Amino acid sequence: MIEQKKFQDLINEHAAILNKVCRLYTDTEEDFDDYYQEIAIQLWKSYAKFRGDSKLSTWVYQVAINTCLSQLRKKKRRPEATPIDGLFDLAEPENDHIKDERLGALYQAIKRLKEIDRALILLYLEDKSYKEITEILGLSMSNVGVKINRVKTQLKQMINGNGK
Amino acid sequence: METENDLKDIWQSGTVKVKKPVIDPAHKQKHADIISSIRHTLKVENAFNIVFTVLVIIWMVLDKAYLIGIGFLVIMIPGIMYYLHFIKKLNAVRYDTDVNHYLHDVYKFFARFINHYKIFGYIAIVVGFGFGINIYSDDFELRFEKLKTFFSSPISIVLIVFGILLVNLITYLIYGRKKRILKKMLEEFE
Repeated sequence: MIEQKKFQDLINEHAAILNKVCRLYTDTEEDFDDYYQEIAIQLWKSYAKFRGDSKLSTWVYQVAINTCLSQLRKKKRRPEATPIDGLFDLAEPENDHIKDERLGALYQAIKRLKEIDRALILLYLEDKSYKEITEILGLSMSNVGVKINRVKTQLKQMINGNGK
Repeated sequence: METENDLKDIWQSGTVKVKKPVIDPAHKQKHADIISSIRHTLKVENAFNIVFTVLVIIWMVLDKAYLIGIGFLVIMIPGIMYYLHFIKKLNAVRYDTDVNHYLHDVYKFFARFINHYKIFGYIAIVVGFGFGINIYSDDFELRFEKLKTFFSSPISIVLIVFGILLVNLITYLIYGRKKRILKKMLEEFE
């Protein structure tokens, strides 16, 4: 019971990470919920084995990204599926409209990247160090730098309307 | 440098509403993840193997074809054990390793399984033909002669080749897509 409570706290504490990861790998509200639940289940299954060798957030990212990458696409999209973007309207009233639009455009551009590149840029934008990115993704340090630069250029082109 | 600041500025510019769905342990997934999907396929196939083995053994006992029954068990039991071993290995795949390591693990198990699956299919085809023509022969020498004739005739060679191609096609249809998805993801690390 205590473990369950601790686990629920952990999920709440890292809800922002789970939201961002799920958002980058899904297009509809149904898929978002589905992925969120699956990540929570995989976190719970791995929770007992977590020995604290890495930071808790590193572990959460690993499980969340691995879970999302493992999901097979559905054969048929349900007609009633609700687009996820409507659910993610920026809630803060003080945010100006232009900022919201730019952030929305960035999310859309990231979703057009390859699956691994999405994870890579998410970690970069979340201000993770190269060492942490290496730890989460299993890429070499030099490869991380090269890839980040390539993805940033790609994103810039997409946002400016020059991307494919 | 400008791009870096631009992207990070945009990323940090707004507060995205954080959704906290209630965690439901009994949640029925509408998606299948690769590991669960392979595991499910293996379990279904192994259940089929077990039922098939039991039915054939009952048939052999009723027919008093004990030797063939034993031969069949010698083939099927390692097969069933192999499936169980593989399911156990898949259950041990950990989601909390780095992404590259995780995907390599899954791909390695999956590719190995496909190869074994093909080999098992080839053996089943050849042995199946062998058993098929032998089942109602009591005389050992006659059986041997039948086998020799069968395996040296062009038609049987064509049938066996066709069977092997069929095993390849079935394997591709069942597992080809999953293997491609994994390979594509691993290539993204290069």
